[in-house]
Amino acid sequence: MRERVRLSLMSLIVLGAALGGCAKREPVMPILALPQAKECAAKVNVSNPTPLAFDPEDAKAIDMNISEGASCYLHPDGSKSLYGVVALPEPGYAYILTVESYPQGSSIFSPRLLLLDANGKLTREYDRKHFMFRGGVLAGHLRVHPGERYLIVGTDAKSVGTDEQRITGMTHQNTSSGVTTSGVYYAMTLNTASESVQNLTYSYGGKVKIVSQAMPAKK
Amino acid sequence: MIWGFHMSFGLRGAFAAAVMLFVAGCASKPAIPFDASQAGQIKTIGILTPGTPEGPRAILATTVGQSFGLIGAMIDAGMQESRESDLKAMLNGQNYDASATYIADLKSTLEARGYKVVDVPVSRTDQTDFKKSYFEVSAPGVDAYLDTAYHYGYISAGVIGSAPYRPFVYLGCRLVKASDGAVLMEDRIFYNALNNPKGVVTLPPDPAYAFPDFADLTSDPKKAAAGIDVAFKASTGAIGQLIQ
Repeated sequence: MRERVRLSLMSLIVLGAALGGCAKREPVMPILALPQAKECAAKVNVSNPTPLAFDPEDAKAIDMNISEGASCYLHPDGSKSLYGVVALPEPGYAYILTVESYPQGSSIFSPRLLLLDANGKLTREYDRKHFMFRGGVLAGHLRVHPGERYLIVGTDAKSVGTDEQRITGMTHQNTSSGVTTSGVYYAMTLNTASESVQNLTYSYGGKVKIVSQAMPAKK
Repeated sequence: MIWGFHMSFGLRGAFAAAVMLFVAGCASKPAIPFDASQAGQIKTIGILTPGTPEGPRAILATTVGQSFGLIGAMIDAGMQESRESDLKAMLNGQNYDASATYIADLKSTLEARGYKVVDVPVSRTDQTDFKKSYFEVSAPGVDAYLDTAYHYGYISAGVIGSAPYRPFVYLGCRLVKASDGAVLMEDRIFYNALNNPKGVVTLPPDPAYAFPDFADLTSDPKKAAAGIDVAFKASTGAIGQLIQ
């Protein structure tokens, strides 16, 4: 009997350790260089785009992961850029496009955007300087005009490896409630504060969200 | 009220709660990005007299008083007024002119981006908000009006925990076409925002300007003024970035 209990305990410990191992995530490291052997074409290939929808009433979004295995093109300035292709919606009028780069651990994708027409001709280009932090994400807003058909979400290689420190004050509210021994209900709120310091390194790849939404109605 | 500063700063004792409402408002109203295709047509920008507060704010976002209802809120309001009065006197002692600094920085950032800039004096019924309309505004040769309103000062997330006083600037900016009042750009910029609000441009504070408590802040007036200077420069720089 004692042996059985011991075995059960051992099983629980092993199971716990295994689950703990599963739950532990590997830290995401920034991609600071591309392999020498990585082949990069002189032109972007728009033959297999991810479609982005448009709804005049609601924002529509797609997620994209720019990984080390993503397609690569050689920018005219000689830098290599990983990229993904989005087929833009065509509502027939201008709308707002937002590209958001999400931190993963200490890594954040350094974006560069190219807008192309239906023939693949470059209409506009935005480097990372166009992007600003909004809340916890690095975001770029732009107005897309009729005729702009593809969005290339690529790497801004110039800023890969550079760092950014972000300090943010945080407030917290902790509420506790209960009933005293004399039957009186009580609730108490304690407000506390802290600061978070986030150190981010710009990377060749990372997590991106692309959002389309209508221009706000005129007041 | 478009972007809620009036509410945020009016309810002094309940600043954190008001910030939550403000953030919710921001999240539901998307920013309007500058239309780059218009860039060539906008050569001269008229800076409307900005909406400005009476003086600097000195905000402690979470306090012990918040746990003690109305009495706590009244005590907090009194303490905040006292801090703001001290901060105002201290900046006056440094001959610090926040309004002139803000305008000079704004002009400098726009001129650096190739715009010609002129002052366009306007009156406002609400100093904490955009103008309601631009029909009465007139300035010959101006292609677009830049309408801004801002608050500035020092803010600490709270005394319980590690959160020093750091400078802040919270502003709203809107660029409208002079000919028809069309909104070319509209956004909100928070230098040293609490709680990472979504939907607004969030600029991190310069780590060099941190004061563990309010007494430390008042004991170094020169550094305190320099901290606000840095916050204005970064915030107006972000306006420039939004209209390029």
